[in-house]
Amino acid sequence: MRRLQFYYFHLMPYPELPPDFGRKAEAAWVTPSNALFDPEKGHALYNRYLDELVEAERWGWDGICVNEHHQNVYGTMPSPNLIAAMLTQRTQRCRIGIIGNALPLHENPLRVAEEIAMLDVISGGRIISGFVRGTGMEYYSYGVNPAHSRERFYEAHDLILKAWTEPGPFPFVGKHYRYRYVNPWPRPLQQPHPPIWLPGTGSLETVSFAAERRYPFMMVYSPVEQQRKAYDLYRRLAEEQFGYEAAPEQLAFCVPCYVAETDEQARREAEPHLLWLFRVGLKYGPYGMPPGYVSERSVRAMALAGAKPFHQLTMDDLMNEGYVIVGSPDTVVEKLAHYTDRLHAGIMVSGAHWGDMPADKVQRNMELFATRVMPHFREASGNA
Amino acid sequence: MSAAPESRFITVNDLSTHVLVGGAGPALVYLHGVAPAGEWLPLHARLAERFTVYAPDHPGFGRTERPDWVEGMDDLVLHYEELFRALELDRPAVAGFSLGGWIAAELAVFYPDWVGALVLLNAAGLHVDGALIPDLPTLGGEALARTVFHNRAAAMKFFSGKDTPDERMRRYRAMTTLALLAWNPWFDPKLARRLRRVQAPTLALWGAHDRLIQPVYGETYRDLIPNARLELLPDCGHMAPIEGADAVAEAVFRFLAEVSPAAP
Repeated sequence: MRRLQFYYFHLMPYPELPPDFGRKAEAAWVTPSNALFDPEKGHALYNRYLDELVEAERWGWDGICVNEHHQNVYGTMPSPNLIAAMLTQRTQRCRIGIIGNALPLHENPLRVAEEIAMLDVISGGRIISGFVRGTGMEYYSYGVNPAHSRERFYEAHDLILKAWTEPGPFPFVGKHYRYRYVNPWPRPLQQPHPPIWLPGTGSLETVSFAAERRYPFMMVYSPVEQQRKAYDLYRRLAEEQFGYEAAPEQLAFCVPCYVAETDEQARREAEPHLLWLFRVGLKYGPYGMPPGYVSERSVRAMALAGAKPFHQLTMDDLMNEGYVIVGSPDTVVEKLAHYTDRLHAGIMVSGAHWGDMPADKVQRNMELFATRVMPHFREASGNA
Repeated sequence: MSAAPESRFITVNDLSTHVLVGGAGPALVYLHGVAPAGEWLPLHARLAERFTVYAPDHPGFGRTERPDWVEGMDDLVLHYEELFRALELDRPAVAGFSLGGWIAAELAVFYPDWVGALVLLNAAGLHVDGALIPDLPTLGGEALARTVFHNRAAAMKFFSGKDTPDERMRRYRAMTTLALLAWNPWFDPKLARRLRRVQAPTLALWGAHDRLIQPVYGETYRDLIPNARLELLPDCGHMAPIEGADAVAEAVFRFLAEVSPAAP
């Protein structure tokens, strides 16, 4: 019995750019002038994107997801909690994943504890709270010290968790965050607290942090082989160091997916938009790796791995290495079966809108995925 | 010509601190910038013709490890006060380049009695409206060369052979220490009004074509330090220790002869 939970992720990019933007812009982050943002077009995009998220609930997705990014064209949700607030009012059943709030970027992480608690209470306990560090680029955009990124992440995490689970008021005295009175009203509805997810790229530190606390770990934008290694690491750490067997619901993969009637059609229709996502949206220029953002060990490992930067990936790279899943329903089912059968993963975080994809393609992708792929991984389907 | 420098490791504040020592004569402490660090450059050799040159590697640079207490410029000021005592330096001349110039200025603010004379060479530490210091970690390759060098040939020579895994790691490590010290703010907002405390006669020595820390910063240091003058180095950019070593050495000799007539 193959089972997957499905989460519909929207990045809310801003693709209404001059045609030569991808070629000419130094980066899609930090420095592309916001003079390029047309608020009228932004109005239409935000509302279309919100509709797409709401529609995902009707098509049977288990949850819908948003995230935080700053000063870029790739994702225009500097406050994911605002978007999540709207979704609490427009959906009834599905979970709402904020994956996540970029903790170290916040000068006052107590605000995150408060907002997530508000959303959880208002939504009737439907919130999933992802915590991330934010991309390297955002340390330039927000002026936060990248060399403090991990320290701030762990400290903010500890503060928020304590704020949700221990009766206030209590003092919290950390290196980066200090409070005499931690006592957020409201408290979250889910007990002991909303599920915490950790999206990441598979570093030992993050995987270990997640495995120790049994937080679902979500691999983001990576070759399938790298995803396998991260899951193996998680499962091994769980078993050998933390004394339990990791469940499939602890291993999530965030992989862009596009379905059409045939493999050829799927590739033809998806290619320009997936290339926009990686080659334009993820063109991070000189801002990707600010000093101190990752350990020297990780820098060395990355240099050895010699992976191409996202903006140099070709469609063949994306498909062959498993950064994306594109094909007919049968092909997509087969590729997802690899995740369930071989990688022991249980949560797919994907969606139907990628890059500059027009609304009609999103609709077809969503419908085909929901009707021809999803059922193979549901309880009642009785598939092999 | 001076002999090869001696490499010493001196433990202060539980940190084994690497110091190159060479030459003879009155003491001159040279505080390096982000790069190069831990090297005895032709500039050091020139200065060592007339002075005993002490060239320590800052914590987190060169051959001095980065301890976990490096969080801000005040940590380095305390570190250097202890190092000066360990080396039994008595009011030495202190010359600091770029990041090292910032450290030297802070040292002269916090411990005015410890600094006999001060040379600020293309020194960081301040902010001047309209002359924002470029964001160093975002600069690579050609952009970096154009920003920090005026002399093209010197730039080519400096960067050639530097694109190796080891050099990239060294740069990442140095930039990480720089981030800990100076990510935001990338200057000391309190330094400008504290500079009036500096007692040492001061030379602000500036590359006329410094495009990283423009000469207006030299003017600002000159204006804020009670006993200071500014000298521009023609045909020289930010990397004056590399592209203008002789001009820097000559200017330092002139200045130190002028302010401490006992000096050779």
